[in-house]
Amino acid sequence: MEELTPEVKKLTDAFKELRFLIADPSSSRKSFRALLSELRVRPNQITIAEMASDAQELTDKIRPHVIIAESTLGVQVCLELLRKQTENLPTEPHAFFLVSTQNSNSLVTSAADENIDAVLLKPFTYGSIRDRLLEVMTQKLFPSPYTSTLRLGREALLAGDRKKALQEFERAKTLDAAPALACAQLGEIFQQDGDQEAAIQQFQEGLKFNDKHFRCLIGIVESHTTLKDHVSAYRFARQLVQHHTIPLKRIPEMIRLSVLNQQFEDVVGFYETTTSLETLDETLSIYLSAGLVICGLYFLRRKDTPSAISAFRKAEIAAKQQPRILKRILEALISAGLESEMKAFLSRVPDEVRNSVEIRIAQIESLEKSGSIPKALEETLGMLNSSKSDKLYEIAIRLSVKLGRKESLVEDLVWRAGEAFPDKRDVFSSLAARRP
Amino acid sequence: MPKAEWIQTQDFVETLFQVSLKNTSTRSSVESTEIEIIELREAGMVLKLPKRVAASGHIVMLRILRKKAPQSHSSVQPLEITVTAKISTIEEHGANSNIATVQFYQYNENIWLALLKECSDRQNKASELIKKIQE
Repeated sequence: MEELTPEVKKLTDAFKELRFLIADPSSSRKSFRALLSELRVRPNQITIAEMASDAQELTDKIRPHVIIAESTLGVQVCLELLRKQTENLPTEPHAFFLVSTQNSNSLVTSAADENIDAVLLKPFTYGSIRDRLLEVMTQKLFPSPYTSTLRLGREALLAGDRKKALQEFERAKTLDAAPALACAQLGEIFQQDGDQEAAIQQFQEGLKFNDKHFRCLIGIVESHTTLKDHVSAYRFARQLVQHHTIPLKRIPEMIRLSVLNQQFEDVVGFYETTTSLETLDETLSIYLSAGLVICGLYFLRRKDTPSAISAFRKAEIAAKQQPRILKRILEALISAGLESEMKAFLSRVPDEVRNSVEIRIAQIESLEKSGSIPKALEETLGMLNSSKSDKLYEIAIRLSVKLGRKESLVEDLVWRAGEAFPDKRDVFSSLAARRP
Repeated sequence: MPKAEWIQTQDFVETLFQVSLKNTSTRSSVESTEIEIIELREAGMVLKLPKRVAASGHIVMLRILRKKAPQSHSSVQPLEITVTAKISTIEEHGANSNIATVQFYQYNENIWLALLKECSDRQNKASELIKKIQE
């Protein structure tokens, strides 16, 4: 066995007190075992878990200080292991390494945003995983006074001692020349208290030390959004994007901010980028398509029909056949009187979407709007034979009243609707009461 | 300063490695979908292989391909290297796989070292990104 340098020797001495879990369903364990062995970790300090369920059970049972987990366990499992590890060792140093073949910047920043300490990219070299392990563990086991004080603050927070946490983070501010992270932590406490103004003050102080500081920028965007100051939130979000790759889970919020600030070209920019990717996160596609529908409606209000149609078309592509979004597009096309576009749209959507209750209701509303009320009622009553929907009953009652159908028929409808949806009896009765 | 895009396609680009194997000792072949590269070494690799495709001492031809996906969003061209190697050790790994350590014999050293450097740079870049988020 090779001789260790004094720095590494100091670290390996500290390793003697630690427990390691390698959660590896695939193939990396041999390399990590060899590395830990070189770093004088004894075999009885290392536990291997091959399956996600074993990894979760062992994280609670052996309470490992170091977890090396393969991303093939699944993102949610890895995050659960990290959460358990933090919970189980509130006052002890611990580290989480994610081993992944996925290596995009987006994946790495998303992992960092979840407080994963390092991402080890596969295939790796022995030297690279060794360097990363030593670097992270040195910071964990021999932290600077600043880092160590921040940790005390986080421990106090976990223990529910807000007062002590505030004290520790304030003390940390005096221990570093640019304590932006201490400011961010203080800001996050004020956010939890609901005191957004105090939180913003802390984030701004942090940004004076480092105008690119991720957590201060994210924090200030969130606080301004909570205060409904969308202009300021958007301004800081733009500052964020100048310096960082936005983690995936934060993108929907950025789309929302763009929409709220009527920055519709931004939404189109999101569309251009994400649709060129092979896979698109489902939440992201919902936000994106909903944002594009709002863009389209905005263009309609400005009488810019070609731009509106283009936005709706993009929304349709981004929606990936989700009926809820497609219905919103159809409704928008109907309300704008874009009949040929509506027909073309319906010819593109697959049968299961075209025949979904949402889309058929939108079609019925279109018939009503165009004055074909008897036809709209016929369709509604036909649909009620196979699908029981409160919205359908509401339409049927409204149209029956509009057409002046016999009182007994309307009453029968109200009775049937009330039987099917007892908590909406009042709504149905009030619709029936609107008889001329 | 020009207005930055919210998200960039390059941020979603993945580096993919594929390796196919031809066992010259047994004249059998294995497709890249069945092989996983775990570790890269100065003149060799650690691979996960299906059981019974190679044994210790066998001579194999490896075709290694590094590419970016989606390629349309990357300026980095695919890189390919063919290697003659010997299976130096083989260990059982579960019911269906083995972990093999291969030692290269004939290969273009410059391409291989460039590939190693690229992986090391990629790891360093990932660590920088993490530091920027967590500092």
